[in-house]
Amino acid sequence: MELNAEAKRIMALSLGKLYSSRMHRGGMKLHRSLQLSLVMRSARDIYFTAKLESDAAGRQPGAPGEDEEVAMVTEAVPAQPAGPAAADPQQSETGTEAHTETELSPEPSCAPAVTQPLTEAPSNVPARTECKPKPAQIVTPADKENASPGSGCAVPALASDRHTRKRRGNSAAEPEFLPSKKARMEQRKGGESGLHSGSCRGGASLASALFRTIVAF
Amino acid sequence: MAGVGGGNDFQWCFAQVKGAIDEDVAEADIISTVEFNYSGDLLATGDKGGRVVIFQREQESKNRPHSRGEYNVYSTFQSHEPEFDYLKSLEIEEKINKIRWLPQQNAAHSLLSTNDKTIKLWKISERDKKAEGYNLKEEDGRLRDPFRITSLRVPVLQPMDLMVEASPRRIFANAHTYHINSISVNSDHETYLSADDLRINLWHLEITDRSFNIVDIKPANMEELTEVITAAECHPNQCNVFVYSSSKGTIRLCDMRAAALCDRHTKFFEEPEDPSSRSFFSEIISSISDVKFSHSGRYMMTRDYLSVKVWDLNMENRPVETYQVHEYLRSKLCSLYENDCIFDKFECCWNGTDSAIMTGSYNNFFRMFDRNTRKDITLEASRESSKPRGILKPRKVCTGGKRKKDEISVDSLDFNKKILHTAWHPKENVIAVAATNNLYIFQDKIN
Repeated sequence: MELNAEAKRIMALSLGKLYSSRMHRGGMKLHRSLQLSLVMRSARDIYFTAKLESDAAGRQPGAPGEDEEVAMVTEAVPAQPAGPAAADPQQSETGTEAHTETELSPEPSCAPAVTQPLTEAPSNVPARTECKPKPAQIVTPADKENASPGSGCAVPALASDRHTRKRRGNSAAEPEFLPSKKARMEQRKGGESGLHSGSCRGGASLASALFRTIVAF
Repeated sequence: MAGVGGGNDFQWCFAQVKGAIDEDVAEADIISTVEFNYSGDLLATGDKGGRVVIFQREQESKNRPHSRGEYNVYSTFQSHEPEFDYLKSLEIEEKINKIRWLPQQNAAHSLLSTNDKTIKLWKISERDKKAEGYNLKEEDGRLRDPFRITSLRVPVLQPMDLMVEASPRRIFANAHTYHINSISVNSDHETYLSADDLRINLWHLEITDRSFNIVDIKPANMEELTEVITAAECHPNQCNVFVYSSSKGTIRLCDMRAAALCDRHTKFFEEPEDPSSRSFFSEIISSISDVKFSHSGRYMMTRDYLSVKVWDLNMENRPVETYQVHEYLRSKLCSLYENDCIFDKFECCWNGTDSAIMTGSYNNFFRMFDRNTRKDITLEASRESSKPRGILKPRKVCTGGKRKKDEISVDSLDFNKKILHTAWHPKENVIAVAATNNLYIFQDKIN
């Protein structure tokens, strides 16, 4: 489980670095983007290996749901790091935006799929419906007006993210997907540290948070 | 030439330090490249602010025939300015990525300096005479009225204070889509190569509007990108041969006689990965940050995050020597990833006889390895240990257990103080070490 938590943490960290590399003077460095995507891939592979082993050992509540969510997320992850790199620097900025926008189309289709496993395991419905609105609430003060009002679905958040993408650089005080915020909220509620619990709560929040970050590209 | 710290009472001592002492370092002053010229009399540095500073060694004085001359500022000029790419809405940094000297062909000196996108050829020339007594203009430059001129005189050359002028003679632009990481002058003294993440171009020093693409590893679909070019260098005496290293830890040697486009390598150098050392970060620490041919041309050296490897050009399947620079960092890779230090690109260099190699580390430490005796030494570039002609004390990092006196523990290392750029005089035991915004010059102790 430690390895899982570490893998998730590293994936989130890598996404943060990828995001902030866009702001660097001189533009995104291709080598750096490639290295970050390699680390994310390693983390994903190790996460899945560890997950398979723990699943083989015994099922945990919410484990299948978490698997599918992370699968959706990590399907998007390899494509996305290549996305900014894939945008041929010869294209204009609008060209780059167009490219990433076309990548959004598979993701909204993932979002409904994300909600499905969350509603499937009835034993955890209270916990899940509780955690669903939370990702929408993790917004920086500057983005409050863009946050969806706790509808519980990631898709409206995607649309609003699209509008705010260009201005994000100045307004975001802190990347919104840091799972540590989620963990603190979880600790207040359930007395567990979100990342280390291995329950669906940690997985769902990280998955949704990762989605929003991917979309932000 | 002696190498490192062993035998023959060889010791390194402090000679000079250049740069501000302020704790508060301006980012523009951070040194980004250091290079001696072919004779070693000139030492060039480039910084993040786009400036080039050239130091010249003083002639050895007759009073003290055995002490080496000091390096003093010879010329300072702004090589590159920040630019803006309007099409991509991106700023182009003025940071000097590399400086390479051209062989001297006349009284003037020439060097190539490059930022991410543009390479410039600078000519540095001295002027110590000026002509006086022109017929058509006054001494201050104002034109004389031609009708007032009643006699002709021959202008006379008068001595003046030495003035060193740097002028950009060639600008090689618009040939790189990605960020330039290397330039290397060919042994034919007519051409040079420049490398970015995905392409290598060959230029003629006289021709700026054209370059030949000799390596292109850009995939048709960028999402299939798996490796980038990290460094490239021309062979020191075979003008048809060059090498380039990749982010996957491989080196390809190419022969320009084989084809116009050298996408297919002549030799491929790769060491099989040790499966026991796999981690999240194995792939990225194997990325080669620098590649340098030995002066002889028989060997080449590569630097990855934790080690330096010497390769025999005749053996592709593994290096002939591997030196661990700071193996104690292997267990700290996660923290180094968090603080971005894992992405630091360290350079390496040979001494003039290829008997020793040097590279930098953290905490302002730098390491030297003697290839013959297999001894290694860690030294520190710091103001505290910089007494005039003071001998440098070897440093040691304590990796675990009890820390001995004078040792420093891994957790106490300052990762903001990194030595990425070092240079070794081509003929003597004089080294230049760039520590953030300071340039340290060390030399061997003269007994």
